[in-house]
Amino acid sequence: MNPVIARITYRALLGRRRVFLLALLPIVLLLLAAAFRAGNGNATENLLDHFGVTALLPLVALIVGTGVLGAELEDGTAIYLLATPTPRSVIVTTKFVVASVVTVVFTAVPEFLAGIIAFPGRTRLSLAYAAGTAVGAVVYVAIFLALSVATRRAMAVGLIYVLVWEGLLASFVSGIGVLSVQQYSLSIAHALAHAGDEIPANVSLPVAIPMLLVVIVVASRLAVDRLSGYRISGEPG
Amino acid sequence: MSVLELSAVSRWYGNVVAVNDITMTIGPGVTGLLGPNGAGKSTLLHMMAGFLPPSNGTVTIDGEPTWRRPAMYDVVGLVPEREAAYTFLTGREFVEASAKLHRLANPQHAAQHALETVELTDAADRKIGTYSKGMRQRAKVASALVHDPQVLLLDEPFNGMDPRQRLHMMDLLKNLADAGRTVLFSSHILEEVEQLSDVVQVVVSGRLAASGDFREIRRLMTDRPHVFTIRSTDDRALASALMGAQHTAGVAIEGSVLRVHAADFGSFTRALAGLAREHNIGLREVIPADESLESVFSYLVRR
Repeated sequence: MNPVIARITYRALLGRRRVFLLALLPIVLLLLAAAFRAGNGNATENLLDHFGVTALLPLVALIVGTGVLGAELEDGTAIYLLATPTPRSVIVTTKFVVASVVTVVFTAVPEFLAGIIAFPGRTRLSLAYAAGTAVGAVVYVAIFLALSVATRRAMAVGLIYVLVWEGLLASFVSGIGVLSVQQYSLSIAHALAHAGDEIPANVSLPVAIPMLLVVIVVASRLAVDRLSGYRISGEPG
Repeated sequence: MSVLELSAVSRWYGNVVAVNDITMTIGPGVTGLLGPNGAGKSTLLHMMAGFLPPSNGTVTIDGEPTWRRPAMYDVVGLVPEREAAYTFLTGREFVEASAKLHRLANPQHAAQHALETVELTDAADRKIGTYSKGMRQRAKVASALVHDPQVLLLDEPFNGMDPRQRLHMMDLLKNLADAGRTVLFSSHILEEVEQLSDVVQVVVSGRLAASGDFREIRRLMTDRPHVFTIRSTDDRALASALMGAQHTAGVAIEGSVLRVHAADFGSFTRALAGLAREHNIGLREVIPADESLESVFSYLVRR
């Protein structure tokens, strides 16, 4: 963790217009929560699961995860970090921590607040969803960060992954759940909630925890390796 | 004192050969890497700076390869060509960040010194987003210089600088060279290289076309015949005046322009203005018809 890189990353991330985009989805979640409360507030999974975990979480993680390093590689400013003796692992770790914190703030916190607003009295359910979302945020960020170093089309590839793999396949094909970040989040939420709260988790906690740790380690190593071999774009000049 | 060595270096992208079998040694002093756009200068510089592996051959600094070795940046400073900068930082914050990333003992002091060196102290506390192109360029140089590197690599460093800034930057690079640093800069402008560097490496189409003392290369470049197209207030009078001049090999009037064959680039261009004034003719346009760098370089390659 390098404080200089962390500061620059925070400022780059939250100073741009991206911050409005980041705030948009959580605001929608909170508005929906208010609407749920005004109406019939029983369908917890529609709000906290289908919108919170399935849509809000991966999209915010995608914007932040590909933004912390990928945006700098894209616009050329990353060169000022890379042309220093700073170990690449330190750069990746710092970016990872910053992106995780920002993503948790923009996903898990509104998820908790939405739970409180929509389902007053069921604080444990809200906390469970918020914890699952926070863990999911960290895993997603690791994946999207690695993706942003591996390809210039990280945003597009990430979006396809979120929509097709996480959104469609993992929901309908139960075997794929073992390889789904969304399922890890739900698994954690399920484990923390009351027994009576119906949180639809396809993966058990003893499977989810080692799997998500593996994903974080593999993704981070890939990011470090790709960053170590970072090439300035290949046009002959 | 650090030495940069390229040994039989080639770099290709798919079927395109960007750098073809180049061997060169760059020692202390200012070396100019000269060549037209697309010649392979940036590719060479990126390999030297550790941001591109050679497809073949080796690139080393003091015997150590540059690729995948971040520790190298303890002795190397890089000024990239791209104008990108952290626009939300002030110049001072930017240079201080670089000092901290280089783990300097007193980053504030080092940053102040680097900002003074590039004459950016007045604007140091303004955001880089408000800087002119030349100021950004100087901020980049300050950031590359902050750890007092043995080797300084600059990709087209004079782009966007006004003449005064250019002179100042030239002085700065000369001073670094005098202090025993190895300075290499790329440029596609002959005059920049001529004013600054004693040693020149000329790259054309990925190959090393000429290498060594600038004066010798310059002579090769300017002694060749040149064609100019000229527009003036009185083309016929100018044509007859030019025919009498020593350095003119031939003149043709083609429509509304004069096409002049000069025997020697340097002496012709020096004599032309005086001649026009003498005959009270106004020069509207003087274009060296084949003076694109590509043609100069291809002439060199043919020799």
